[in-house]
Amino acid sequence: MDRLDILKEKVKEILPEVDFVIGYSKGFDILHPSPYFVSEERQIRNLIWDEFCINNFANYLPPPKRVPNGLFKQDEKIGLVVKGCDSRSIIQLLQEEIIFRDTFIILGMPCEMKIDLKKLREKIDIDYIQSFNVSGDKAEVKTLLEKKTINLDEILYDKCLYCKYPNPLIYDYLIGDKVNPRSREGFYKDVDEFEMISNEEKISCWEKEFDRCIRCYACREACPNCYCQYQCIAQTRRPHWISQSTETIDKKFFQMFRAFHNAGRCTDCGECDRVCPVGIPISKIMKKLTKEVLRLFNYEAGVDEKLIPPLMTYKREEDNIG
Amino acid sequence: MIKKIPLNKVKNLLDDLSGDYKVFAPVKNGRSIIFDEYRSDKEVNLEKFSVTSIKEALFPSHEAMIKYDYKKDPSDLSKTSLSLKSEVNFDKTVIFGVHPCDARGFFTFDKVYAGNGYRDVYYKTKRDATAIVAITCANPLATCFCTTVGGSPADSEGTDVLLTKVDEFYYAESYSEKGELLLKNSNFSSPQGGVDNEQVLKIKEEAVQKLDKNFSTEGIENKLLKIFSDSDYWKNATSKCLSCGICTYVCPTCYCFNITDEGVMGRGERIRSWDSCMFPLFTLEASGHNPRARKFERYRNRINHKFSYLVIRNNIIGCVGCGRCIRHCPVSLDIREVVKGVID
Ligand code: SF4
Ligand code: SF4
Ligand code: SF4
Ligand code: SF4
Ligand code: SF4
Repeated sequence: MDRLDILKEKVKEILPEVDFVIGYSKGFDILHPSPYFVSEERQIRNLIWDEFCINNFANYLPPPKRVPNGLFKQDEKIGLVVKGCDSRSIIQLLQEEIIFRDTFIILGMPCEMKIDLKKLREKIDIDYIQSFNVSGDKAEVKTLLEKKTINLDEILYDKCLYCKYPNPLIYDYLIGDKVNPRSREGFYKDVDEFEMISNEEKISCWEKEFDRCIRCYACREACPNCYCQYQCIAQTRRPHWISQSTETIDKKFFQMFRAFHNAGRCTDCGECDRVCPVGIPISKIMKKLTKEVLRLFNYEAGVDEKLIPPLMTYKREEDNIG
Repeated sequence: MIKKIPLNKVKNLLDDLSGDYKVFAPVKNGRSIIFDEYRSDKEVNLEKFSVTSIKEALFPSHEAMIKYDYKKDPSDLSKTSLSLKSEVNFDKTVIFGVHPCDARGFFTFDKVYAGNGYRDVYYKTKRDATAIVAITCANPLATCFCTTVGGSPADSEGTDVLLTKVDEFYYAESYSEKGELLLKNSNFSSPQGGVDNEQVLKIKEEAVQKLDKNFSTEGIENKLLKIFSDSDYWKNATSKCLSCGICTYVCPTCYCFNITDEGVMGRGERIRSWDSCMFPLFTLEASGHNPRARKFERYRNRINHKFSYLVIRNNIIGCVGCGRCIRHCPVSLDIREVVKGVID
């Protein structure tokens, strides 16, 4: 049975136990599936699962963000479709004790790959997309204006190219067979390269990137770990640490402290990067942090619920910090 | 007046114009096309749809309203003097290469910031000093719905010059004195005979035909009021929303701002910066009460504001159908579907 069919059956089975299940359905075109809240059986047939179903639903779990009201309801139980990488966000949130395991059911989806629309856009004008078909390690892409065959390796999200955890690390039900992990070797290549350039070049690079930030906070709102909402210091007046202006320096400052607030917590899910409307490569900043956390604490966020995240605890003598 | 300009002369034109005007155009910035001030070293892209709208030109994402400076009197420290300065921008501006929907977007601003009631000097000054050059959208996107809300991909309303691409040329039609003045630039030449005109017309008509009407806006303002209290409808339609600022910030008609004092040691600026009704902070009161604490209430406000309140108060639909809020929404929330759901 195809993974989607198994999913649909499972959703039908658990629906009586929960208020709703979050999955994916068709969006305005084939490249943009949309989160879909199933509360009635007749909706199940609209569920989809393909290489564009990307949203990390763990983001809907923290109380301040919980749906459908945006207010936490103690007695509401939900189900959610969770990919391998998303499961790490859930583990992270459980470690932070901001969410509680008995308030949601995880439908774990082993996941082969997802297509990075920002990479795809560099290859073909996806605004006029008509069809996208995968065969082997290539994709046949057709738009109103042209037709192209593209190597999948060139258009997968980085996190998928080097996916170490394609199978959910935490779940109530596993939907279909597990898939093979890929090697992590090379995941930090872009960060390694960036480290080589001079500090001046680094600064001017990020100044160029953040020049076009529109300060929409989508990176923050899409991040499962950013659940402070308006208490985020990007907006508080007391303390008044940052101006509301859109000067590059303020926008850069915002992203830098958002990154630091995610140190040791970020799971490289890439949502912040994906949602940025102006294509700022935020992942690169986040990856630098996960790389450092790995080096200093030999720790990967969201992999083992029993571990205490290094920045949530204290050691008199750190092994790798002198 | 109709003139024409070869595609490869557009850069010359922009360089010329930026001598006399502040010029905004869609430029490549990193991986994106955004509207920004033109400079000769920037790469202009008139083919793709820009992420940001042109509102930035007349309604900057932040601008200083007042500069303030508190000074202590060195001979008597109990005395403080305050100096205030307010500057209003007068630069003559050309906004170049916009979509016709973007140009219409300013109609909403005009009603609210330059209408019969309140007159916003920061906006109005810039508006009066600005000329708009739009381009016929020969290939509308799947997310475009301008014809549904009263516009068209070949709409000349709100523009001073409309360009239409025919082969290796842009044909330029002017619709105002400001437009005529722009067409005097030597990069434009006069087309020969009537044949060209026909081609321009044909391209415009074809563009219009490429778009279907999504819904009828007839009576929408009252239908929305009727369904206001149907929380279930709004919850179902919007539960996936993330309460970010994308839809409002990329929208050519969203005009809300916040006012804050930004300074250190008694010296600084009172700025206004974009705000979004999708943020919980937008309506948070000092008491802690929030009349729109839940996201369905916030999204409902966005729809009602555009399709009901503005229609009732100002006789204008506050949406020009540019589709940006659909295209760039991280959860692909489709405003058309939500409005359609109200009508059905
Ligand atoms: S999502 Fe992008 S544009 Fe929006 S605030 Fe974050 S970095 Fe800036
Ligand atoms: S910072 Fe970005 S990559 Fe890290 S957890 Fe948050 S959304 Fe995911
Ligand atoms: S950036 Fe920091 S303060 Fe802001 S929401 Fe994220 S964790 Fe909270
Ligand atoms: S862009 Fe989408 S997710 Fe963000 S506030 Fe608007 S509707 Fe919600
Ligand atoms: S509401 Fe959406 S479609 Fe309408 S003008 Fe604003 S961004 Fe464009």
